[in-house]
Amino acid sequence: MTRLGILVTTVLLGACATAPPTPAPMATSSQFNPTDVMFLQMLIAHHGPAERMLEVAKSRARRPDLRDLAEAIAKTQADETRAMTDWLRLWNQPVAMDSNPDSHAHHGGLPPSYDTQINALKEAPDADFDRVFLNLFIEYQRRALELARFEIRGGSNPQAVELAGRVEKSRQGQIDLMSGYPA
Amino acid sequence: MRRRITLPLLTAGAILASLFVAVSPAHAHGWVVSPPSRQDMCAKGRVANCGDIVWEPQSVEAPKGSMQCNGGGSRFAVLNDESKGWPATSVGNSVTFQWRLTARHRTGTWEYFVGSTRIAVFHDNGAQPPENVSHNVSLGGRTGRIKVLARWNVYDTAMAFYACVDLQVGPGGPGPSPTPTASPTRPPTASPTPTSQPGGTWQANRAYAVGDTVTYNGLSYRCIQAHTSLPGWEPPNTPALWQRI
Repeated sequence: MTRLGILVTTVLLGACATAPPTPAPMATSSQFNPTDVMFLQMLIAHHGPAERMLEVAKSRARRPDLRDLAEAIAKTQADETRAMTDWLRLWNQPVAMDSNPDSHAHHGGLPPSYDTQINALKEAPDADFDRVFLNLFIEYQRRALELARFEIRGGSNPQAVELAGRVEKSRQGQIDLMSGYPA
Repeated sequence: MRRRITLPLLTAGAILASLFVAVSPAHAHGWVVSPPSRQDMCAKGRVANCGDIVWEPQSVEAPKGSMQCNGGGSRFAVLNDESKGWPATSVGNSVTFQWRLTARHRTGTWEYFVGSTRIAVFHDNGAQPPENVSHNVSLGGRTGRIKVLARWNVYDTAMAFYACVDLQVGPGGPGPSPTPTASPTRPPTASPTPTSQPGGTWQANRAYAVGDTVTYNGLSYRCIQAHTSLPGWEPPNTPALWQRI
C-alpha cells in the first residue's frame, strides 16, 4: 500500500503526465502543501532571468508591439513576484528555492542561469534582435507553463492554484502571440 | 531501462484512474440551471466545444475561496474562457437563481459575486437543502453585461461548487422572478447593444492603448500600459496594466 502511495505520488508529481483530477485536498487560504511552496519558489526564481531578458527587449526590440509586450510582461510578472513573496512569508517558508538539485530531480532539475543566452541576446545585431529574443523567450515561457501545470495538478492552496491557472493561460497567450510575429 | 520504468508508471496511472472512476459517482452535486450557468449552457449544447463538462455540469467542485468559474481546479478550465462568447440572459435588477442539486450536501452558505464584490449571501448553517434551491438576489442597480459567480459552500468539507452566470441587466429585462421556460429563447447571437460604457467590455487578444477604458464584470478600468490583452490578464488580475476607475 505504501509502495502504491509512492508510485501514485510520483505519477502526480511527474510534471507532464495526464493525471486525473487530484482528490480534494483539505484547504483554506492559509493551508498549503510542498507543491505550493515549490511552485511559488520556482516561479519567483523563473522570473529572475525573464526580467533580465525583458529589460533588454524593452529598449532593443524593433517591433513596437514587441516592446509593449516586453514591458507588459515585466510589469505583470513583477506584481506576481510581490504576491508570491508575500504568501511564502505569510507561510513562514523560504522565498529562495532549496538549492539541493535532488529535491528538484523529478520536475526537471534546477533551472539554469541563462547567462549565456542573455549575453547572446545582448550581443545580437539590431537587425536580428527580434528573432533572437522570440526564440529565447518563447521557449523560456514554456517552462512557466510546466510550473503552472505542476501546481494545478498537485497544489492545495486555492490562491496559489488560481494563480497557476492564470499563469498557464497568460503564458500560453504570450507564446501564441509571439509565435504569430513574423520571424 | 526506460521500458522498465514506464510499466509501473502506467500501472499506477491505471490504478489511479480506476480509483477515480470508482469514486466519482458519489461526487454528484449541483449547478445553477436558471438563469443558465456556463456549465448549463455547455450541457444543453447552447455553447459548443466545452469538453467533458457537458457530461457533468454538476461537478464543478473545488476548494472553497476561488473566484474562478471552474473554482480554480484543474478541470473545466473552459468555464473561465471569457473569449468563448457565453450567451447572456436578459434580466432585470432582481434575479432568482435556481440550483439543481444531484447530491444534497449539508450547506454552510450560498454566495453570489460580481467582480470581487459579494452581492448576496444566504446562510444555511449546516442544513440539508432540497433538490431545488432558489435565491432572490438584487444586482444593486448594475446595468449592462455582468458575470455572476455563484458559490455553494459545503458545510462539512473544504469544498465548494462553482457556477458562473452571464447576465445582461437592463430596465427592459424581465421582472423579479423570470420564468425561463415561459420566456422565448433568445438566439445567442442577438447580443444586446453594448452599453454606454466607453471602450466596451474587456476582450482577450485586443490591442489596448494607454487611456483606453473597458468594463469587466460590471467594473470600469483604464489601461495604464499598452498591451495586447490575453486570457489570464483580466483587468482585476493585472493592476500593472489596468487601473480601476
